[in-house]
Amino acid sequence: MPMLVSYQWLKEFVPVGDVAPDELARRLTMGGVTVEKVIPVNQGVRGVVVGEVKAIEKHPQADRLLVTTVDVAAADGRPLTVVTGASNLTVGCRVPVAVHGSRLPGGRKIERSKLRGVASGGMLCAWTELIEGEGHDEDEGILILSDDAPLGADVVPLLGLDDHVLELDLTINYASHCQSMIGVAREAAAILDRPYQAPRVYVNEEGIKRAVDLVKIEVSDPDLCPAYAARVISDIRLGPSPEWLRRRLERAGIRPINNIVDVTNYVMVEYGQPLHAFDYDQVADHRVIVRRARPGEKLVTLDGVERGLDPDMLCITDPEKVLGLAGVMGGLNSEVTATTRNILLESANFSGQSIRRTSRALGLRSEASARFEKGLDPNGNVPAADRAAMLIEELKAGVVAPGVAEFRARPFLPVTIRLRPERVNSLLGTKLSVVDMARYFRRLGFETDGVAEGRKHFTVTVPTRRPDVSEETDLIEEVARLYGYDEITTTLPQGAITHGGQPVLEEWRVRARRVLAGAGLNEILTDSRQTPFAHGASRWPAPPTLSPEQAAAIPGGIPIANPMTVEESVLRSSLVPKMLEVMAYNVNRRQTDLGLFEINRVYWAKQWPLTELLEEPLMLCVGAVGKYAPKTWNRPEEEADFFYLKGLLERLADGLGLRPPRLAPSNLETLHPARQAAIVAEAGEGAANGGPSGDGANGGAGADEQPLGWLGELHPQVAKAYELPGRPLILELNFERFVTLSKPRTYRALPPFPQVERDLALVVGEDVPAEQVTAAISETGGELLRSVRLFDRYAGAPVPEGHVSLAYSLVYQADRTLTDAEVNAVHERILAALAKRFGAKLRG
Amino acid sequence: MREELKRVKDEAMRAIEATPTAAALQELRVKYLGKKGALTGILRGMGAVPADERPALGQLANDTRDAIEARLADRTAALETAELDARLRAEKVDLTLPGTWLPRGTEHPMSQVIEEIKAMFVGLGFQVVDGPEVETDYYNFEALNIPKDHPARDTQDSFFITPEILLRTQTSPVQVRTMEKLAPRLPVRIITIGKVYRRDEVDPTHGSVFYQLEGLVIDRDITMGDLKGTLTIMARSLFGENVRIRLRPSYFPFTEPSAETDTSCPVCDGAGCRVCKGSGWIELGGSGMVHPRVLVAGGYDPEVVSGFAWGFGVERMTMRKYGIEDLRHLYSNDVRFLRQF
Ligand SMILES: [Zn+2]
Repeated sequence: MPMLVSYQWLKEFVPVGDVAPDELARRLTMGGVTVEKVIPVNQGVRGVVVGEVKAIEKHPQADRLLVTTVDVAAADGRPLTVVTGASNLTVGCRVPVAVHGSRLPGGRKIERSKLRGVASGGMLCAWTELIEGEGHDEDEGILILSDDAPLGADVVPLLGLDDHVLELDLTINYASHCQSMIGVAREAAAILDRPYQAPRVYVNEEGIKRAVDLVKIEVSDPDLCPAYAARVISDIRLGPSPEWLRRRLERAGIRPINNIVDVTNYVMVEYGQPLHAFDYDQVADHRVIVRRARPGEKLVTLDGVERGLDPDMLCITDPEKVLGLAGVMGGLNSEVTATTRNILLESANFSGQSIRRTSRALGLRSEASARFEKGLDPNGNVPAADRAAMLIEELKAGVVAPGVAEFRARPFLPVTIRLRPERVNSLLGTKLSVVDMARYFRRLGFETDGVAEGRKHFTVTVPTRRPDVSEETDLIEEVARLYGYDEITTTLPQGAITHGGQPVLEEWRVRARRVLAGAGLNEILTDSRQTPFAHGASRWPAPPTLSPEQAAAIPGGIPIANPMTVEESVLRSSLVPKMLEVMAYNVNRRQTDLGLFEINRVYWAKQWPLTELLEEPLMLCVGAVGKYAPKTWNRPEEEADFFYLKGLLERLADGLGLRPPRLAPSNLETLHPARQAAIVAEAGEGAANGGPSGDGANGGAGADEQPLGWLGELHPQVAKAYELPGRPLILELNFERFVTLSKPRTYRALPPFPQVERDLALVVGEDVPAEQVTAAISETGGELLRSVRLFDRYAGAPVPEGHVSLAYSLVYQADRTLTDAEVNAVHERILAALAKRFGAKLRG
Repeated sequence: MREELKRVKDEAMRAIEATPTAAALQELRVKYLGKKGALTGILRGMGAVPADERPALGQLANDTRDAIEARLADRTAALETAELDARLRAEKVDLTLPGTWLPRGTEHPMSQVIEEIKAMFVGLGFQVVDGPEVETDYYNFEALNIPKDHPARDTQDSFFITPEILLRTQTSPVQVRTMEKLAPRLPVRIITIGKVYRRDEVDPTHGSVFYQLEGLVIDRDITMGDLKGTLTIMARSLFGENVRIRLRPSYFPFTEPSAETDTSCPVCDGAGCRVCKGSGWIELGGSGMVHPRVLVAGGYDPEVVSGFAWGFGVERMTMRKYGIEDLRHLYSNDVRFLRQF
């Protein structure tokens, strides 16, 4: 419920007539009272004038239509004939007439026309036709103006349509004192440096008995109700409010109801203090008791709903029953109705926190509760009660009993704060004088004491209507905003020179991102939250930080206690499920060739239930499916397969300058049983922050060692569950641990001597892992062998059944020119070793 | 013999001219200058020549050989050039065929903007720091001057794991964590960028998770003017040399004075356009002078030092930078979107 401020109403309290609404909005915003928008009340009414109905006749052709003769004080002196369907007209009443050529909201143009054969010179207007969106009791009929409305006059100023409404978007610190017309007016006065004119209040108290003799106020819980005031008004005459009052309520977004309710609402808007009227004769013993609800108590509120109350809720009661929920809603049992003769007008101060809790608990929020929630001036309740009593008396809606029956927990005194001018200037970077500062405070209505140039400090007394100002730093902010943030000179921090930088892990992340994007992959960013089912669907292992029992308690991830949707209800422990979802999302959009990666945090509880914060390791995930290189006119297409994924891992390690990780057999249920591997650090390397494996899924990765991650082809069942075609590939590794495999980049002087290249084609049994053959070559080759590269693998004739041919390219190099004899000797040694270990033969 | 030499020379010269290929010229060379060639044949008859004529005839024979050699060389070069030209002309390709396909991946636009921001602040001497996304109530609220029941908690509705552990609603907890580590050292110049979570309704410009850029500077004599200056540099580096910064009074429990921070619209230079919804300004986020109570929570004495801080939404900056109209595109991970960056 935003605060709506009528510009015309505001002018009653502060002279801003020369400041256009838009400019006023800008100034207020830059002064701290944020105006969200400025809404012109007139949505396009032009040329509509006051007319007097001179005659009413039946339409000759239509039962439901009337033909009226209306005097609009036209220049030619001739009255208009206007056809209308309204039934609330009487001869002599004055009404708004949209004459030929006039305009109504929405650009609607009024012209002479014929209605069932009778010429009509315009249109008589209902309120809703003149102003859209405001409800009105005369919805059904033509708006009847007061008899003194000048004939022929423009209705726009007359009806207050020449107004603008400023919609405020208040920050918490202004929410209390700017939820009222006078609060906003005080701010406008301070910001624009204009005088503030408070409403003049004088209550004509013509009742016989004093309020204190008519009602007893007892507050049992003064912590929740620091102040309570009641006025008693007798001889109530319920009826509609006058036009001006109704119009102002409409501007503030409140629907007029009857004069008593309207006055309470009017004062709430004007003073910011909600009021409530009880039927005085329904209050047993005429004793009002403010207390917490008792267990099991119930109340039927004004909206007809029976509410169960709990002892956290503050109630207005009498000795017999609950009369209302303090600050939230009254009870039906004490409602002001047509038969009400006397009322008790409550103006109280309730604890904002208590009201907030109650209105939340019951799902009841109103203009009143919204104001109480913000916290109100504890000294503001009696003036508001007086203002309401004055209006009721002026409207002749009742007779006011003298005085106020009142409770105050204690005196509420303004706070006095010491301000050091030097501190103001040093924090803001300004050069304001002591007198300048004091002047700002006086504009705000704060008193100052001890102001003199050269003083180290002076004091400022802040009225209770500004609870947001309670210490020196608050005063500094007041100076800053009235001086103007725009006026503060732009400078740069001085002081020691520092060198910037980022965490090493971030550097790694940047480089990894570059390597993978360079290899053709697209980076994705996904939410940390997912459905509790996502993890199970992916079949990925549980985090290694939890015991199997703990992991089983939260199989979907760490549950959020108050999620908005089930899709965002757990924190993920792996990037894999979202990766699969993103792949499926793209495949559904006919993007079937995908190479994606994400480097992001996952969330591992160190125990469950949680007793401390999480581990949030940075993980790297790759997902690929389809072709990683398309068929082009000069190149064949390349399908992503296990070795593409392994190649990416090797490229990543190489690009980051890491020792290549080793692959070990694994048995994850997510992956193809024969095409998957655990990524492990070489023995004794990296793998520092592992933690015990809780899932037993780390296959051959060594007894205690948690793998860095896994890679492989997706299991067809998992692929099917995600509706992924082909042979999707997934890799996830613990990036933080992966980068601990780093080795320093070393430079080696380029050799001045030529290298010798030899090829080696072998035949070995097909079960012999290529990696072991490669390792054996490197090992036997020793110092002279600089590199080994497998460049061909072939099975089929003439290679014997059950065997494969592996072809290697070997490079020899030394710090001298190698002789053929030297190279041959090493080459022979390698062959001999391979023959011995693997039964390898030279391919003929 | 003179006549014979002349005849051989003339014949060789004619033959060279008439030969169409460099290979055939080689045969001519053998025919005339080879061991069994015509010239050698003539010289063999030298024995029959009177001794006094021999030197002159020998000279003539050499001249004849040289002349044929030279002509052969010229002609060979000419023919080779012609042949090469012809071959190269035959190697014509369709230049309009596409170049050979090479892989090109992309970094997410958010990552790119984050790196740009980090690089800029690192250049200004800031350290990039990190903090947990799942935080304690203490760091997310209490230490930031937001005690329980503070109305500011209503505006930052949070996701809880336990009553005391929640998904951070802002990156500001990193302020206090960093101060605790650094106090009482000066100056503090840090930024942190990371995810924050709020229970807000999702719409084209707000999600329930977003990235925030948080900055903090603490030193002696830090002023609000320094805040304006630092943010001006940032805005200019991201959006262009001409943008201006505007601070509007606002409220955050952990800063005072507090401000909403706007940058002049880089598209219309403040005149008002569709991008800035006619206002001429684009909202970046909150900023302000660090509240004394937050300094105390971090271990600094507010009587001795002061500081400023800010927290901006990174999505908004990214959207602004690339003209992306709907926040949800950033997290759709549609490759047709990603491949544009
Ligand atoms: Zn613009």
